[in-house]
Amino acid sequence: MKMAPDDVDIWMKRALNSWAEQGDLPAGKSAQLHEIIAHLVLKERKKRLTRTACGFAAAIMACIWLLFAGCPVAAAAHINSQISQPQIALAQAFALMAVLTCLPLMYGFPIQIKKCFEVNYE
Amino acid sequence: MRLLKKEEGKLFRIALAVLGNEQDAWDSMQQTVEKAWLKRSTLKGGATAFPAWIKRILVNQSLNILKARKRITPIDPQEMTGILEIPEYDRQDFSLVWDIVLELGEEHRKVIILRYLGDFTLNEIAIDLGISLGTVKSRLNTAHTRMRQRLQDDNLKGAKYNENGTR
Repeated sequence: MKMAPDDVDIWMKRALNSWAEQGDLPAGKSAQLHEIIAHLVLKERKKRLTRTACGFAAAIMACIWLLFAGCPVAAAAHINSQISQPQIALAQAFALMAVLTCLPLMYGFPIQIKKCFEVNYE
Repeated sequence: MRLLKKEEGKLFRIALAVLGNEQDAWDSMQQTVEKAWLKRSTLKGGATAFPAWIKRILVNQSLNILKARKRITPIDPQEMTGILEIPEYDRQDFSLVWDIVLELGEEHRKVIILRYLGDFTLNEIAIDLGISLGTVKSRLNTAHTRMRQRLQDDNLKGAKYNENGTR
């Protein structure tokens, strides 16, 4: 019997694919696989929740900054003293830097969660 | 999850064919699921495209495991025989193909699996395995020649081909 190369090509593809399609995972492995997905879903939810919380915290901190940025001027007015423009700018810059320093620290929090998850998972 | 449930058996066997043992195949499956979840935004075409998309991830993961395994422990020919042993599932037409694959060795096996189970093009196989297109063609050609010889030698299997074959 002589066979054209294309026939062998198709025949091999069919043989291997039909073998693969009849496949099944070993007992319990399917459940384990779905457990992994459930873990991933949970991990993502945690991450999203943390991000939302960080967003809210950032917004609150921005509000605090807006509130305190005006403080030097208000304080000067209160004691009937003069405060120069550079001093106001310096105070505002200081407040802004304090807020901005806190933000990366807060956004670093999800990374910590990720590390914990990987250790526990392993 | 529903989509994966439908494909998991097939994916496991593809990983098994690439890697040759159940433990590595299972590792590859786990890594594939994690990677697929993380990269799910790259899936274009929804449920229809899912089987091909996840199969591609699985084959790439399996190849990575294969490369890593080779780097850690050089496999001697004695060990190779054990690794390439496929569990005794159904051994019909597949066993014919797999016998040829076993005969030809790991390098040919990778090309055959990527071509027929992974649905890679010849160019993609060449790039993924870091070999020339000519080598890919030559390895497939060797497999075809052996397969043809084997089918010719085996009258029974040859008759079966005539009954169930594509033509």
